Amino acid sequence: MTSTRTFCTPFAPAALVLLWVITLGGSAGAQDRAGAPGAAPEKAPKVFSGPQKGEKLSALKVVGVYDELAGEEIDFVGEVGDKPALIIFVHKLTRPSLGLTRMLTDYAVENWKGKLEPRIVWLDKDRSGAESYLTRARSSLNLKAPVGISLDGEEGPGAYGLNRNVALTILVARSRTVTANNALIQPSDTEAPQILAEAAAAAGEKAPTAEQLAKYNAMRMSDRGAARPARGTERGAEDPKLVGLLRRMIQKENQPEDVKKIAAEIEKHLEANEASRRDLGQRCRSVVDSKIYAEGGYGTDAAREQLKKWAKIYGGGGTKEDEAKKARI
Amino acid sequence: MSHFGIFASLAFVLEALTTQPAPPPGESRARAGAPPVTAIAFAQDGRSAVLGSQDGIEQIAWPDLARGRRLGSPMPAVNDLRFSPRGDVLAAGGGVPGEVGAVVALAWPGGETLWRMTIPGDVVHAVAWSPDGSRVACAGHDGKVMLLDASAGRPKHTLEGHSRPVYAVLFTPDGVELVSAGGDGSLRVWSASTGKLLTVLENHTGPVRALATSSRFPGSDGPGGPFIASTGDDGTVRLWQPRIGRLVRFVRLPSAPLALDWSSDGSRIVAAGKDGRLRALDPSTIDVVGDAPAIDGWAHAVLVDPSSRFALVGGEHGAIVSVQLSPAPKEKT
Repeated sequence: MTSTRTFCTPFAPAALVLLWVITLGGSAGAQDRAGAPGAAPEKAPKVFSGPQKGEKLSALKVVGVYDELAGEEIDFVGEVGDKPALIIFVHKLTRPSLGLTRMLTDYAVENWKGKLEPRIVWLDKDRSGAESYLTRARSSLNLKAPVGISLDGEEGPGAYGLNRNVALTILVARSRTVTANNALIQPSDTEAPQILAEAAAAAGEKAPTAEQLAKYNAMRMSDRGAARPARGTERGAEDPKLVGLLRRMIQKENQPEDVKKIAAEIEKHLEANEASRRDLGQRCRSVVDSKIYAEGGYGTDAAREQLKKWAKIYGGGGTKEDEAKKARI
Repeated sequence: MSHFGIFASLAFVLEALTTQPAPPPGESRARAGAPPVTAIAFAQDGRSAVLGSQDGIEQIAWPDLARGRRLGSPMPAVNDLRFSPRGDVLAAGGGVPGEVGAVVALAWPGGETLWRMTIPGDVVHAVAWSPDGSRVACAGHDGKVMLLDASAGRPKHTLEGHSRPVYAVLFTPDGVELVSAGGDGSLRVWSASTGKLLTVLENHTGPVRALATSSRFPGSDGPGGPFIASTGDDGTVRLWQPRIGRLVRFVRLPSAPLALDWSSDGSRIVAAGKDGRLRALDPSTIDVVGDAPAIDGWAHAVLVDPSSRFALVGGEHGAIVSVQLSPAPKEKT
């Protein structure tokens, strides 16, 4: 898993503000539950996961993963006590869910040390598998907050009433009482300003503006970039919005209409951006020529088809296989 | 306890702390080959209960469990029994598997048949009365829920949506919603007045066998009602706020329950199932606060008595056992 991030250039703030407004305005629609057989409910219900605002947190037993917590059985809630806390339950590991988890917890660790306690709860009943993965992938996961494994599996501890159909459940708490709850089916970095505002309120701190957050992320990215060669260097400056949209488009759980919608968003983004068109073309060209693509990787059939189309339009030509067919003809 | 055929009154105290008296010992006799008790209902007189099985409906005395009259067999297999809110009508649901389902309304205490509704195809697994007593809902193996006019048994609505048999149905305590659950693992929340589907609750990972409801939730800082408890083959008991579509909390039990009830004071949920044990849960924490052996074999039915002090468990070989529940902790003020 790579850990490249979105929102890492000075050009991002305007897009971030726009996306934030869109997300806040349309969050209910974005959180639709999976369809059920037979008659459908009249309206899409709000998705719940975990204790709601005003409810008490019960003990949260986990097995620590890193450093001095490794292998230790801990109660995250008891350990944090009455201090403000940001607790993130990771139900599904996807690039967007990991990205948002890292953004929120890194910000808390680096800006609100001692004022807000961030904790990451990995939901997995296979202790040895989870420990092995988290240790092996430590450097690419690059999580700064304490991580614990809840061995109750993807539904977590029963007393929390978590919803296994979401990707992340994010709780903000103070004095062991929930002050904010976010149940995210399709997490994205655009949720970060709102959640950090909720966390700031619990910690008695000032919430970062969207612009401040974008600058913070740009700094983080450049720090990480200094540590290792940047991906896409050969393509010149990376377009973070484009990268974020492409990541959303290749999610395996996307429906064809989701792919169509994101593809339209990308096309709109490209309209006044020549550099991004080139970037997209090069990305799609390298994707469709890759072994992973040949083996069926990079999202659903609809997403793969769209990538191939862009490779032709912006990257020149079809897949290597197509070229080979032409040569044969 | 003999392995075959026990009809006994045994008081198991779930927690040693209780000082409440157990029911006096009742009649105990072997009933080799007796069919399992599949349904229990308490009559409003507080002195009797009825049991359902493939032998029909039988009245017993409460709390001593002495056998009373047999009401005969309104249908080959009785799967559920429910008294009307006024206690003057007993609804029975059942039928012949793979052939026909039936709902029968019997006058109580007389036992005369008031009406009979037959449903071609397969059995009725569960019946429920609306709180105002005007409607009866029945859950069918054909995946449908029917709402019947309680005065004559005429169908008013047929609710379709479950993709597998429906095993349980109930009205929320205020009668606003109807909740059904079944083999497709979902709970469906319907408008009780219009029959429209309101929401689908899909957190169970296997068939859902039983439902219970309460308008009360002990503790001053708990969420608002009404509440539904559900259980099934995934071995969990889950608490829901059906009005907003929220899973509040759940517990995973060591054995899959087949039957569930919620005490009328809201303080306890009881579950019994394949291991024959009765487990009492505190709904405010979902912790198991009592666990005792009840039936030698599968327990198919469980019901808390109106005083919320005892649970009656029915199961294999016609066995019926009363279990004393520990007193509930005092609510926070």
